[in-house]
Amino acid sequence: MRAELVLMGRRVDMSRRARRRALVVGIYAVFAAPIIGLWFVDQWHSTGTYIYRAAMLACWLFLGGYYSSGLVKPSTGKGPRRSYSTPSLLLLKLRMYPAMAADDDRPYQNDERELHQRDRAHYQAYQAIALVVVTLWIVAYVGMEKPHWMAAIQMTPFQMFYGLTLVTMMLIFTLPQCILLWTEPDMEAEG
Amino acid sequence: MKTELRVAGFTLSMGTRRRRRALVIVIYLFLSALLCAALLWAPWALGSVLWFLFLVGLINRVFFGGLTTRGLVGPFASDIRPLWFRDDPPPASRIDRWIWRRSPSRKDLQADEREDRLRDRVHYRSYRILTLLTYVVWGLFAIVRMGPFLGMGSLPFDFALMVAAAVAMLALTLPQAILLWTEPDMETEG
Repeated sequence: MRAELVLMGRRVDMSRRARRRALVVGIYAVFAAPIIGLWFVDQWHSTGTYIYRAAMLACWLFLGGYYSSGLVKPSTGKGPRRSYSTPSLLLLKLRMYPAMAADDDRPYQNDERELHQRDRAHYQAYQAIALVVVTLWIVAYVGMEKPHWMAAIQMTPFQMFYGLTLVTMMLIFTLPQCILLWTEPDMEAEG
Repeated sequence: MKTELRVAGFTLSMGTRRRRRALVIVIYLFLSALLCAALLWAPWALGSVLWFLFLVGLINRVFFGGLTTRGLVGPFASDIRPLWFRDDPPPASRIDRWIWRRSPSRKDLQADEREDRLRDRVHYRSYRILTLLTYVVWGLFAIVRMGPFLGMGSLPFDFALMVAAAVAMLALTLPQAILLWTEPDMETEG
């Protein structure tokens, strides 16, 4: 895990656990806003994919895990794709262009300890996700069999299930990284 | 991981990987057949929570383990233990001794460092598979919401529900199955 977050050209020190926890709380609080807001736009009909994209954006900017950027190193151990083309003007203005990639992927590879941390975080996340997946299926069935239960929240079973699936997807993509950021101790104290 | 499986009084050696793989295949084929049969003849059964919990619980308890103290794979969580589990020394009464003999020992329930790492690694693999499967469920329900799809008519909700049930079933059995599938022969290891 990295101790610094590079955001629009600025380096933010994230070595302290309190900061990392604040980031995790902030990310999930921000996620709640589009999930609720987009329901009022079109009941997630076509805007549902934005929630999934928001999760991927959070991974790219802050969390890492799936991308070479972010706090957690990529779980695959692969660095960014080498591109010799000029970044777009927007990325240059936002100072979000990728750094010139080196020839080897070593800076992005996890060592033995980090691999163990990654696996442990996925084990912990799996418990929650398995429970959510089972709940998802039970809610889908109850929604079909007892639609009048949904009348109180003015939601059809499909909408309910679709919304829960989106939340599950968002959790699947972010939970292991968030567990790592939440549980790892202060880096100064460790060193 | 245990090398023997005790089912209905019979003891089966499961030390070889080939046998464990055969067991995994047979169990998943059985579950697939059951889900397909339910889809064709009794769609209402796809959502029966009691049926589902009973079946997956039974498979984990008798064959796979992981979530229970029985089965081939040792318990994943260190705090899983039977209700009747007692500390040493064995109790003095005859009834307690009878129960004691059937209960697993503390040594069997505690995982060592290597087993912990193995457990975490298989959960990492399972997590990736589960991510992919959740994509599938999401896609299927998106198609159901869309209605008629590519001129083939709308996808029946029962089918999407069956896939959701299958994913939920896999979520509770996949790490154990991966462990049984990947671990080498125990005889050659020893």
